[in-house]
Amino acid sequence: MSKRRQNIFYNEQHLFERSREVNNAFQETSDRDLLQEYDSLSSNYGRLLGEVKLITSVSDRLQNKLNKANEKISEQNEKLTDTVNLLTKAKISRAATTIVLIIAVFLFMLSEGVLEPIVEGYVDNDIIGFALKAVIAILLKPIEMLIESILYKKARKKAHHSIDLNEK
Amino acid sequence: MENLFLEKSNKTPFIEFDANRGYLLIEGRSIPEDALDFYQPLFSWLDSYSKTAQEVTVMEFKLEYFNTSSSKCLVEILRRLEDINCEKHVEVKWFYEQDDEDMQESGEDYMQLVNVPISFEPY
Repeated sequence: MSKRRQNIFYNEQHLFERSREVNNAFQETSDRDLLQEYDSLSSNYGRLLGEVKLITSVSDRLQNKLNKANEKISEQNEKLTDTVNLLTKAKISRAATTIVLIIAVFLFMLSEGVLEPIVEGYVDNDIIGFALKAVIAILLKPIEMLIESILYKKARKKAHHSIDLNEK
Repeated sequence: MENLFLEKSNKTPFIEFDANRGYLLIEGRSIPEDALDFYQPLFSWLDSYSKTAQEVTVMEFKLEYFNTSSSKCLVEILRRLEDINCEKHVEVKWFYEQDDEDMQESGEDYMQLVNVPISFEPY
């Protein structure tokens, strides 16, 4: 028990020591004095018992309050994590769309400037050139998903790394 | 007799002990690291006040949170008010937030322990 806790119960400590003294000097104490001491001790014990009951009850309530506060913090933390994840996903999705747009522009220029003249040189059929462009266009969505997945993994790795650093 | 005023801090409540008006107030959060160190001046003040107490003394507790050590110190304050109540009149008002049942129940526990009338005031 800490010294501070002992100080809070200094009255009770004093009363206890007094009763010990009376007990030690039992031989020299008259029955009447002893009875008075016993009466005083029992009433003080009753008082202390009441206080202990109150303090225990207050302490239990404090613990409940702390538990409730901790539960609330955990819930808020989960909500916050979900929101952060959603924001990260949205941010990554925007970044992936931008990258895919750049790729699309590049592929469009490539198909118009390089592939189409080559295809037209070999085959005299517009449908093949059109089909090639369609394949490129269809491939854009999987490319976007792939980029999103890579960026998301990278972001999660970064988040875990910063959590590890904070814990250290 | 001098009045006792203590500003509140993160861990200690606001104290207003006005001997002239017989008005005593403890308001805020009481979680001092050394409760006895904080409450000892209040005990001493009450011991002096008990000798020249007003006919009516009103003690108001407006606590939002207090630790276990503080709960023991509050008992000590109420014990002193109990003594004053033997010769003069003491009213204790226990304020608690409307939805704070814990604080209300703590006040009820104090009421059972000491022989001073305590009224409950939700806010």
